Amino acid sequence: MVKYIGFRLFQALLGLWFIATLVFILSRSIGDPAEVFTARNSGVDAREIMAAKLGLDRPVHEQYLKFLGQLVRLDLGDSVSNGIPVTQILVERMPATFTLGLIALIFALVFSLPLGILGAVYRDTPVDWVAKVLAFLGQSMPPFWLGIMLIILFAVVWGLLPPAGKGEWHSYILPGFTLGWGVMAGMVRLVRSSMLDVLDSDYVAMARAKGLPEVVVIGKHALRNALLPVLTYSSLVLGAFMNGSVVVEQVFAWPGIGTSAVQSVVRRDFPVIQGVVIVFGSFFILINLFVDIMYAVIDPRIKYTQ
Amino acid sequence: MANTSMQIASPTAVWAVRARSVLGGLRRAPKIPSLVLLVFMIFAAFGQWIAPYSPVAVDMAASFSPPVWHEEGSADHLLGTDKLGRDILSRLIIGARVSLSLSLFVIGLGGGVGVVLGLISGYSGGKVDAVMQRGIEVILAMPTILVALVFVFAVGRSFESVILILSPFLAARFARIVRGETLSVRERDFVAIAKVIGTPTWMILLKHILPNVFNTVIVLATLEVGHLILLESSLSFLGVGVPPPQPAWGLMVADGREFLTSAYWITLFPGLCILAAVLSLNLFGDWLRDTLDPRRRQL
Repeated sequence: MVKYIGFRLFQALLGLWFIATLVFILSRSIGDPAEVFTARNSGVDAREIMAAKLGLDRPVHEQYLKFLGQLVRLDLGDSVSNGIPVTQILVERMPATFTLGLIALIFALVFSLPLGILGAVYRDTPVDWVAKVLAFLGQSMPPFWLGIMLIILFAVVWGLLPPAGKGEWHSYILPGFTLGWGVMAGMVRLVRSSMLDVLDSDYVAMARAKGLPEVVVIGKHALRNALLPVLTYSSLVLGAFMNGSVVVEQVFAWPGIGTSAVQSVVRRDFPVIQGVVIVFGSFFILINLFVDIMYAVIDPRIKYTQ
Repeated sequence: MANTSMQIASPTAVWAVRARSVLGGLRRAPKIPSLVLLVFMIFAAFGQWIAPYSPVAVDMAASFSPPVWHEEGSADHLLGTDKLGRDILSRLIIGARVSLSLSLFVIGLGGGVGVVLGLISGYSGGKVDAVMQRGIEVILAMPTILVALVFVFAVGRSFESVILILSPFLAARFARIVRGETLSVRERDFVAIAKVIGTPTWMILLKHILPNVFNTVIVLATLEVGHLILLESSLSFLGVGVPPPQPAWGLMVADGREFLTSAYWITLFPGLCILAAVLSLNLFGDWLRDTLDPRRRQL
């Protein structure tokens, strides 16, 4: 297993390197890099300063090594639109994105656990149908549109919740729900199917044969075993949230990393985009690494041939 | 009689039988999703003859007309108009072409490459397989929307660039699943026999393995079209999808955002179209999977 973890670590590093290289190649291939890294209407001076800073007179492999060296020191350059270091922008915006992800996860769990469990226990009853319909709707509804419809209903028509921005606690409800919605669908399916598997098992039959009340059978014997795959899924979901947050933050003008990514594309602020891609990409890879290692630790039955 | 037909059963005959059974099976397909998909396909193919107006025809005098069931609405524009007075219904009909054709291109390009890579990876095994799998894992570990955002930023906004950036992600998904199927088909007797009599590898892949993983590919393709429509509309919404004035559904939703309080119909209908198309594809794909490939419940 140590070998396996070592291998996964190596693979994660490979992934990080791949993303960094991709960003480097993109930054050098769009056009004149000095132009790419400076604001659109900046003068010749600014471009020359940037050219010197990036070492554009040096051979490409030296530029590349310098770029990697700066990355290792967490130096992502400065934003061209306001001159603030990219690392600082990202650190400032990170909490908003993470809180939103956490709230989305809570929403997803609160809805999917009861629905999935009830759907499995009362199979082919109205509860099960509701669970199925919700699972399908969650998979099929575009999140940005759901967000806008929720704004129309809850903010514009009923005036219950703020339409956008981050403020009081109730400003978290709509964006959190929107981000969690798609994930909830996947979870309902997962809880339902793993609960169905467990309900078929010998130990549940045994628990019933002993004459235990159904609540204990479901709650203690079945649920605990059915939850393992859900736990794994929850950690993977954090990765899915990063993808979703780009869209959902944009809908709700949420001051997180996703919004700054979209704004930078509009402003052609390449250093910030580069920073967001590297941070999100790294996070994605680290989560996957963490999940795989947890899996190896928790479930020794899995054999790793690598 | 049955005997003779057994003897002359050539690969083409096998495909013909299969095609007939597929057509017969389609009669049991879920009615409403199939109908919705059919309508969208007709819109995509013949939209310019069905749409009452040109999707880009500006008519400032008619801007923000509400749908016909509102008091101020008129039968001229059944689903209303946007801020430039463009007919929403016409834009939705033509928009079906953008979403469907883009997804089909990506399925063709990415899915095709993915199937080939999956076959090679699963059949050859060993080092080739290991290297390909690591590559696939790296691609699958990247945040799609963000990477697409950066790519389109770099190469410019166009139909082709969206196809180019979404294809590798799709290829990776196809390759992973086809490889898994290939691994098990590879061990079957008819493959061993084909190998013994000296059939070239490409022929084994094409004639013996591909037909056996084909059901999985069809199911996966159906479900992925839905996924791609969602992705494409998200990119359009973010302003990095197919460029205007082409009426992409995601772009139409984004256009209506400024007018949520006054003209909800600009955002409501394109979203409903996306929902209807993707939901139908998912329901249809689910049915297809249960019919063709009951083992694979997790897809």
